[in-house]
Amino acid sequence: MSNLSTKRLTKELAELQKKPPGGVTLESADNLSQWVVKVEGAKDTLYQNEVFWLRFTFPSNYPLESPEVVFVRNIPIHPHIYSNGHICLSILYDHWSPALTISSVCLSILSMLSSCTNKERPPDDSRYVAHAAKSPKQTNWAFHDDTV
Amino acid sequence: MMDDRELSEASDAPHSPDRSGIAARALTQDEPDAGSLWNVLSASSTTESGVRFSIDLDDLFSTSDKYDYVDEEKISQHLICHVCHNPMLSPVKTSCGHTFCKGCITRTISLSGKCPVDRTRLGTPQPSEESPAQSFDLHPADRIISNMLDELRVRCPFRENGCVFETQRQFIKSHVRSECEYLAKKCPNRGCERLVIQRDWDEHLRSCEWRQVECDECKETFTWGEFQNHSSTCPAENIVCPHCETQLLRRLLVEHTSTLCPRFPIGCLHSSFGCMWLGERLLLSDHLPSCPYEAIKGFLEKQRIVNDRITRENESLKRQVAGLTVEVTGLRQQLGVVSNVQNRSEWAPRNALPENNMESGEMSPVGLSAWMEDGLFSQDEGFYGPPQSHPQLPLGGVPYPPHDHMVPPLLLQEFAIENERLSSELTAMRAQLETTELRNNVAIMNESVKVRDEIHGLRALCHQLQAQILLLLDVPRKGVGGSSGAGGPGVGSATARTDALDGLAAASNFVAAISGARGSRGARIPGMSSSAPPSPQSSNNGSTANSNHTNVLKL
Repeated sequence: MSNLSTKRLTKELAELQKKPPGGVTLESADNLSQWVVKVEGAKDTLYQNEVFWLRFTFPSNYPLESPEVVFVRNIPIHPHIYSNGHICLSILYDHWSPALTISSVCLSILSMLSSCTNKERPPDDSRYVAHAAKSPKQTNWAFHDDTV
Repeated sequence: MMDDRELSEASDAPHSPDRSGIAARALTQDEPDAGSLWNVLSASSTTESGVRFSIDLDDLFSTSDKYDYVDEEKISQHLICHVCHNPMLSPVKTSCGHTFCKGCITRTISLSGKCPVDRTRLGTPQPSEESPAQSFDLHPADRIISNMLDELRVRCPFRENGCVFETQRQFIKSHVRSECEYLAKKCPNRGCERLVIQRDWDEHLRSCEWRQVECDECKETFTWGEFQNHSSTCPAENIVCPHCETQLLRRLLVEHTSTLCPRFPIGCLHSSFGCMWLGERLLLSDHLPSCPYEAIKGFLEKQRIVNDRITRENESLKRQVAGLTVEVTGLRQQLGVVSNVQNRSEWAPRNALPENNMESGEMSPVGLSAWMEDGLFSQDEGFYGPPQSHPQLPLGGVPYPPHDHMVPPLLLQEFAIENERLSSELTAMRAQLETTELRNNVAIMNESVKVRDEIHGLRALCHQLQAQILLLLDVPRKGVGGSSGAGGPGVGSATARTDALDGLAAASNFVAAISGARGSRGARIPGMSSSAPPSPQSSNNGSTANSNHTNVLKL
């Protein structure tokens, strides 16, 4: 962990504990490099009353490089979320920006869930899960759905 | 101008409070030199940047998180860098209009080539090393932004050392450089490990326990702590003799008291002979005329010389005795070896010694060792004299002369070897003898068994013959008539029994005679028809008689 990432993660951690965005709660942050965040499905969406957990793993040059974000424990059924927890979301990979924060990533994922109209697995789910690397950051993603 | 200054200052020393502890640690490691406080501080900063920031960030001073901002949470979000989330340091503006720390945006673009906020592509993907800012098309931020950042209030980084100074960010460097009295530096005195803040510096140097001082008297240099002890031992200091109150240098005191000082208490010149007088040196001349030892000092002196000589002699004699003792011990060990060898071979006892000596020319081990022990070590004979109790022993071929002082160890060894050989020969012969004896015994036993069997067979034969004879004698008596006289055959039977016991030939003759008598009478025994017809020739032949016996046995 570089000094820059340590400093920034410390700030973000304090921020997330002090005033977390709606529907987002910090579950655990045993060390600065891996956190678990609880997100609750927004009201009046398909995921209302459902609770999910996101695991953030931070690289040493965070925020210049994106964190690894996957669903754990309870994987939501969503066209962009594979059953192994991997999320097909551009800001987590190619479109990551150092200006993004943990809060903003959580809100983006919540918004992605909220905009879902049909609860189903991605069409290539079983094929992807069978061959996917451990970290979704090693996947070569193709982003085609601009509606979320 | 402001921007330029800010950019250049970014490469200067850091100023946030957590710097002070690090600086102090680094100072502890640094070898103190004659440099100014500021030099020492920058040296420590360089060290730290080299250790902690050389991997991830090239330039330690491009981040602003080292500053200790006053009321940091109240700082406007507009002044916070989107990348590091700290108040911007050396702010620069992108072509898309966003402002970041210069270091943050440079690194971001190097990685992604885009603005972190709106993802506008910025600069060339692979910027030149020398001036990344130019290749990324970055410009110093607007003056108003720079000014607002410069006016943020920060605390002195040496707050831990006691500095409570607060000022605008732009002035904190000059404060540390020229005003702050709480920079810490290690004391330059060898041995002193203390970190001293600038304010206490001069006073510490004046009072440091480890500062160097020079003794005014002997011109040697010491640390102050050592000097405290030195002042009571300096050899060049002028002191007063405690006895005669003469003034002199300390290093001369010992010489003075031992030879000159008239008041120093000394003993009489004859104290070694027993005079108990003790007094000041100047009174000695008064004492001597009355000293009882003075009158006989010539005699005492002579006695002393004689005594010394005798003592020396005694010493040398003691040494000689010790050497001789060692020699004797060695010889005793050699003898022990020889005795052991000979005892093991079970030689003749001591009283058989003379004969052995005469015959074999060798000596019994018992006798030898006894002679050695009796003779060699008896006080009367001297250490190596020949024994009187065994005058015959050295004779009879013993190969060393009686008046030799040493028994040659080589001869003793030969003895031992010869002895060993003979005893082993003896053992072998004894074994052979035993084997032969055993073999003979077995052969005799076999023979006697055979003979005994034969005798048994013959005895059985005789019994049968006797029975037959009795039978034969009975048959004619019954067959011919009861009147033919019972007395005759009874006597014949008794005679035949006696003869049969005497020998084979007699028995056969007897049978032949009986048969002849019976044949002549024309009587026959059933089953004996083949051999029954007797002939006078065969009756006298032993072998024929034997065959007859065989047939009889078949009955």
